[in-house]
Amino acid sequence: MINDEPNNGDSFVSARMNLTFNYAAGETGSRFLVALRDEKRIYGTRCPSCQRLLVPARSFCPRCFTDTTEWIEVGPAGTLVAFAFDQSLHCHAGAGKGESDPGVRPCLGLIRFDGADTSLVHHIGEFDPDTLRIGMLVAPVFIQARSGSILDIAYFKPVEADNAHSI
Amino acid sequence: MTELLRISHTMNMDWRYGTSWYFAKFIRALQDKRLILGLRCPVCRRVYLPPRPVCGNCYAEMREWVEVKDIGTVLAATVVHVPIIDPLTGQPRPAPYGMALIQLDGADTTINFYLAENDAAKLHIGMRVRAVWREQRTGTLSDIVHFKEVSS
Repeated sequence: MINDEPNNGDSFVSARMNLTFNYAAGETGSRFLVALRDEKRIYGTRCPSCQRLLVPARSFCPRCFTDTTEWIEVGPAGTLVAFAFDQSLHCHAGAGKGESDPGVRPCLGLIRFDGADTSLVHHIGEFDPDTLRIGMLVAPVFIQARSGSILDIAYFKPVEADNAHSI
Repeated sequence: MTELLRISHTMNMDWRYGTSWYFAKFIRALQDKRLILGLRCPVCRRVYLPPRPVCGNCYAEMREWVEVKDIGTVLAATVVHVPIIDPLTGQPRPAPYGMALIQLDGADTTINFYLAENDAAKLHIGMRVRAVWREQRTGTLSDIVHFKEVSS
């Protein structure tokens, strides 16, 4: 009887994983994040060997393996050196005007601050997808309820040169 | 001395993957008829559970469905103490829990599934277990809650 029915059709299997991570930021990471939370400032650290300014702050230079020394503020605005649109359905919350806004295309970018030798990865928001360009100046938009997370900055948004202060 | 931060973040990952005719039939029978179906190889005559389109020994296509009983024998068992995420719920499965390789009557392969029993002292190879079916079945592997020891 079961072999009388045709073998066709398809089905979908759903599975779900909710993975909770507890990440210890460490001394250097914590200092960087506390500065975001309490000062709304972005810091990098200088390698005394190669003189590079590393953003976000690093405890040591990964090229020289030398401990970094000075903490130097950068930004708030930086140059957008690369960006990519997120094609997946499950992107990070908070980028752009609103998750449900049909005009918003989730976008990640690399931001190079003046004086820094490495770029920061973050969301790009409040932008026109037709005019977003490498080389644009972008400034951080901080949230009100900051907790010491990289997401204390909601995203970086394109700004004019004379408007390059964080909001 | 800097305050040291600990950041908690939950990544929610949902999968929805498409399966083919053999799984569709298997899961339909599970939900609609409370039946477990295997596929029989035309060459070696082995019954595969869960069903798969090609025999692993003979590479022959399998099309003959066979009803497999929901009672069988435990061939290997363990008690898990460190819970992983149960993909059927997305949450860590309450531990400890028993798991076993079970050869259901009529099948030539074993299935890996949960046991009702989580006391290792009460598990033994050769014990007979029967499926405990969920009242409301939804067409997923969790339509069988677990396998419980029976005296048969």
